Amino acid sequence: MGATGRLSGASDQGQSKVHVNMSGDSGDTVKPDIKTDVEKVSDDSLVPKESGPQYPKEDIMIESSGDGPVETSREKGRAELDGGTADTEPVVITEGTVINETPEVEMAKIRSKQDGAMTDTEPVVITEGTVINEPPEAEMAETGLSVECNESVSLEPEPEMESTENEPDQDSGSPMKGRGWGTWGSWGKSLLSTATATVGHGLTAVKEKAEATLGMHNSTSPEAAHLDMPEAYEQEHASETEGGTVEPLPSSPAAGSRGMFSSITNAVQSTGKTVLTGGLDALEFIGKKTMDVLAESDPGFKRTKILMQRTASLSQMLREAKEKEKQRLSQQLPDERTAHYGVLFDEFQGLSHLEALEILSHESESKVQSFLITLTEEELETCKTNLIAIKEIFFHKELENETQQAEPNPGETEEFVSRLTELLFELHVAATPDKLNKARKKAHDWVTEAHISVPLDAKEEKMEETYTETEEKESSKTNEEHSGTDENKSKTLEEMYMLSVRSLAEVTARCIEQLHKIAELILHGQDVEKPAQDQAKVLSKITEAMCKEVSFLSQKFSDSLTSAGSNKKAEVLNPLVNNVLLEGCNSITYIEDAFQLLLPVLQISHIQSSCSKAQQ
Amino acid sequence: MANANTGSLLNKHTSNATMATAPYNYSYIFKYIIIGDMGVGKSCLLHQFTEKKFMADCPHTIGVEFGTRIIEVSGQKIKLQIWDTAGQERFRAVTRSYYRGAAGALMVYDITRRSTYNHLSSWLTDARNLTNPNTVIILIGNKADLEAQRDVTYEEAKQFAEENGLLFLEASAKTGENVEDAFLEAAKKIYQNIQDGSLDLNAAESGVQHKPSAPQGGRLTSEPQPQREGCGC
Repeated sequence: MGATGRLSGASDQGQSKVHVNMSGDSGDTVKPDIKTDVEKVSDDSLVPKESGPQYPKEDIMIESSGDGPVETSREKGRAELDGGTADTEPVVITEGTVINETPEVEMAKIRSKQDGAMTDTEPVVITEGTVINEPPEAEMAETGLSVECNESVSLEPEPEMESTENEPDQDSGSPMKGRGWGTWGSWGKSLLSTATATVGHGLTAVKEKAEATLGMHNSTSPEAAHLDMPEAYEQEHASETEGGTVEPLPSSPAAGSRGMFSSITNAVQSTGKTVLTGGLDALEFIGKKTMDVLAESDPGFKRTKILMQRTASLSQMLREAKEKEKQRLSQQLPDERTAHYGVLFDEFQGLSHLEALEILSHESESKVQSFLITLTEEELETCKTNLIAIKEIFFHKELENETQQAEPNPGETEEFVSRLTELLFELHVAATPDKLNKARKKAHDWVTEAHISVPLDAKEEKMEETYTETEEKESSKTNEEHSGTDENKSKTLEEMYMLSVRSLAEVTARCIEQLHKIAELILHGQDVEKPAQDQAKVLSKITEAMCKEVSFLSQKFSDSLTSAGSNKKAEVLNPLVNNVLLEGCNSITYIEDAFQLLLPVLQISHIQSSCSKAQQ
Repeated sequence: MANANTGSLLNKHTSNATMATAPYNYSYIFKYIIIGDMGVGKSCLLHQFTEKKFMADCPHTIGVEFGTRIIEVSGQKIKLQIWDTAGQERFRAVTRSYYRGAAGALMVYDITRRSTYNHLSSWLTDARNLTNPNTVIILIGNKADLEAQRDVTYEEAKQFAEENGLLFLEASAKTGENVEDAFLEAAKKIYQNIQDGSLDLNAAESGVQHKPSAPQGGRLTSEPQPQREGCGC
């Protein structure tokens, strides 16, 4: 299963997948093992894909072409194995639409030359009308993995990939237009796609180098191409290649996933090295983002994680980070501790809810997988179509959001409450937003209270209020200096800062809790009254509303900090303000991550309800 | 960031927080689950334990709720992370997901309602199947304050507990009687299992995380930290 899973997982693979098929078709002599395919796929995931602006690409491309003889990509290499050779450098792939499963693949590949000599420098242009993630059935059947592969494809969330592929324009287009999470979402995406693309290019370069130097056309052991430092490993690889470093067939999924993962790791490592020469920027991207991107988008890896007993789960990582922070803090004054977001977030049970939600999400995911295995091909197709439809709602939210941006101002006091209530009602689950509302109100109240001296509508007239408030601050300043505590009306800067962080942590924890409750209610076994797709849409809106609210809150907090601290030095004030904004972003990330965890929950709920319908 | 002048303010906040200064230094985290029929008082027990208050009209729990408190066993600070599950049958599928990795389980029945006692074997089966063999299970007969309405005798419950190798206590979330002990007894047992090596902390399912306390700078605690197992980082 790893194979397809990976495919779909890694973001750029639409086309790479195609390559695989092609290679198979094109009478590759090697049909020997699935394994190869599997690994190949993983390579593919790293193959460059063109869509959108990616700065690092430039460097790399230049670099690699500079290297002279090059082979483009592994699959190709494989396809032409017999021909013994290499195609060339710049690969331009133009994509139309990529869909998870379109039955036909149309691909016009123009290869200008390909001879044994790998000197060509001609661009390979691949034009894809429609790219399929899924190989034609026949082929899959050959590999014997068809069912598994197909399933994993449909199941896995592949946010980056899907969105980048399907909405290439969005990333580059108007990322900044969206407010709130829309903005963050697209920002994240473009970052991811950039990182992925970077890796892809780097990898190509490496592969090219490796293959060129090795004069190796044997694609049976794709891994060889990935190994670090091609030159250095030349010998080793050559031998490895001969011996066929073929890992055990993926009859056991775990093995498959790990194999894949390791090849990805290799790919990443080698990519990193090559790119080093290309530019530090690229390296940084890769270092920081690549693993995350790959891990996130790679179902195989995800499974491995599950198999490894979730030791690497998000909540656990957060917990560990928090523990470390706590340790560090425990050596400081107690006063300073209270402002640490992570600790507070845990204190409000945010981590616990996140952990519980993760458990539900993982279990749902494996239930979905095991259900799909039992289906016949036809059933599978239908089912997949539905599951994918749900998935798309999860990953295409930004598009909708952009159009919805015309809604009332975010954060208008009662707006959020009524919107949330309304959305929860729409969801047809018995969730109530009481706790979240309470936390949110508390947050708004204190910040408003911080401006209490001013008869104001804090929300609308920030500017005015700011000035007045500042004066007030100054007048009471002396007083505060002596006894920070007994001033109710105006708070010290530090207190405001702490309250800001605490409020953000609390509101965020409540948002996570809310999403967790929704998951529990969706799963609790009653007949779902609303189709999962509709629920997905509503959930997407709920998440959006939450993110908006959080971002509004953090903005509000930082505004009041700024005004309250206008008499302080910048070096005192700025870090506080920045931290508040940063924690705001942090909060949004938590919420969005939690939202993504709901996908398998909705999918299994959909499966269950359609089963019960079928029975009736 | 903390200026001298804000000290008192901050302290005030600190004390409001559930985590005051000292509790930062716990050495272990134990995961507990509370299970049992609807309405036996699971959430109330938790509330009494964490807040030291009786919650009169407690709403039905949806899925799971959480509570934490730091306790001390043999000089070691232990943080209990308590998963208070919903008792309603309809949530059973969901709550089963949460059993995994529990170090301790409080299995609660209502001494005034025999049916809740009769269902214990089903709860026990789940608990045994879904947790690890070392999970400490304590049987709790709640609402011990309602002696007049007693429907399950102490003796029979005690016997049931013994037959099944469970700890046993009757408690009252209302009066607070034995509530502390319920949580503490289980913790002691778990701690003892750690001490005698029967509970492997490195096992993913142990439900215990060892948190070697940070070097305190001599400020807060001076207890020797266990050096044995857990991550040595």
